[in-house]
Amino acid sequence: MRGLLRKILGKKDRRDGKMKLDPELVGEYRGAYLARATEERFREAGQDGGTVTALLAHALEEGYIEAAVVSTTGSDPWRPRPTVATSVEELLEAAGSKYSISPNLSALETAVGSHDSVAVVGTPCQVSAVRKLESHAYGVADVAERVKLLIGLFCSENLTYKGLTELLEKEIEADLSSVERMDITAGKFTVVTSDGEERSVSVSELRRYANEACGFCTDLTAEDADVSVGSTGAPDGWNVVLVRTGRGERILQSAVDAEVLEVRDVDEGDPATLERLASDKRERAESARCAVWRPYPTSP
Amino acid sequence: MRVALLSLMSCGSCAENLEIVCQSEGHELVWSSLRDDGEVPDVDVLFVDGAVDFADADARERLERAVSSADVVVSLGSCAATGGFERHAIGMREPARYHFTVFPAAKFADTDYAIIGCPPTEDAIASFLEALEEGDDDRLEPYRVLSGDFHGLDPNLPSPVRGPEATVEDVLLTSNKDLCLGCDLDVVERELFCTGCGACAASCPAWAIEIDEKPEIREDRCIRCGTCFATCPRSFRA
Repeated sequence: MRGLLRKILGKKDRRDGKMKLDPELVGEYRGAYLARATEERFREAGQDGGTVTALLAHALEEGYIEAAVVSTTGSDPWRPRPTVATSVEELLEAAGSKYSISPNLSALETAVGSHDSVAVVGTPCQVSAVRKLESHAYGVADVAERVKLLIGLFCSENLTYKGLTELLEKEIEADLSSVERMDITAGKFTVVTSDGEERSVSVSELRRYANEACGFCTDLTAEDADVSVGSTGAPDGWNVVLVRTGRGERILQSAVDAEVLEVRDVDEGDPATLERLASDKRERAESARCAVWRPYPTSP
Repeated sequence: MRVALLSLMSCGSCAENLEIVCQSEGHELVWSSLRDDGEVPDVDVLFVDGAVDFADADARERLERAVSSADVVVSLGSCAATGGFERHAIGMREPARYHFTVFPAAKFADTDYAIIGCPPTEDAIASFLEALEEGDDDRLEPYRVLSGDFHGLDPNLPSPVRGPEATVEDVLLTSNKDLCLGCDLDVVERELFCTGCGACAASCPAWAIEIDEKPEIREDRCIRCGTCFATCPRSFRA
């Protein structure tokens, strides 16, 4: 309905222009595409099109970066932990989304301390934190110089591990260890268990189990990143890629030229859905702010 | 720029980083209390580094004289700005929450700006000097706000907590601090504002922050330097 209204209410003019997505909603960008890895192994390991993993592997092999800060899975099922990947094997191991908090930047100091060129993959808040570390380097040196590529993931909200466990118990009635695959696409959180059964719950239900701090966030598409990647608005097995900076553009171009990634026009997907969810996240933050309104806490 | 340095009770790392920056960025360190005697000459900016024992009248007088002759005074590093190592780990003892006689230099002198960090990285010092040289008030704003008197914090601030995208003027709204900037043994309010990004753990100079999802601060290691709070993407916007 909202999409329909949008179509009727003057959004049409902009669509005729060069910009396919509204920069007011998804942030400034230079190009918007659908992309996926050409190699099967990246697509299989990755969440949707394996774009991030393939792009990082390409950057590693070309010597553009020496290491990448990513999140891999630890000993508990589906519990992410940050790691510094230096080989394609390690990247493949870390591929795929984990829907729980991974403090990726805690590995950043080790990464920039021991490598000259580093890529960082993170949620929108982590991407903004890296940008802040670049301009206000109070505690971590060389971030501006050594972080060569900043990849942001689309994020509607993140769950605490406890929240994720509870969500699966109560809404999905599944155990974390029996989950084969988790996915958030088109407003649905879908879980495939080991017996092949697929169950899903609406993303709006996630709110109760999510990190409370996510309620304030207005950024769905990692607006500070060099390259933002997500599945919202892309057909199955593909990613939406928003290129935002010159260095992002160069590395993506190089990956496309080397046939590591195949790209299509973003119009072949569903850009309206992406715009709608981005706009929803902004509005949601406004109401979260009203809900927690309180005076400044008094000193103990 | 013409730079002077008054080094008080400190380990010397801030002074060293300042010297490196002056050499590499073409600023002139015309006077340093570590090698020069006498009064502070006419300079563009005076950096004060370290803490002061308030029983030490000589040090307080030196600080007072130096500050009165300078136009722009900057507390360099957390010992001068918030407390830091000198206040909380004196003589390599286990950090005590209050060491009653030692205070950050900024407690005894009016400072215009503060560069948080233990020590502040060369990048931070260089970018501050660059902003100062260009007179870029927007970039200087965080350094100005962080030099505020957080010890005499007014708990009845008029503005409400509105969200994490606080401007730097509202920086204290995300926290509830009285000892230094980032303390109270919480980087920012954990439940309401912390996204679990991990930037605090990466920036902590004392390895006092362990993070699994949200940061846990080890009290026995924390030196209350405030680096984690200043680094947190939700304490204020870059």
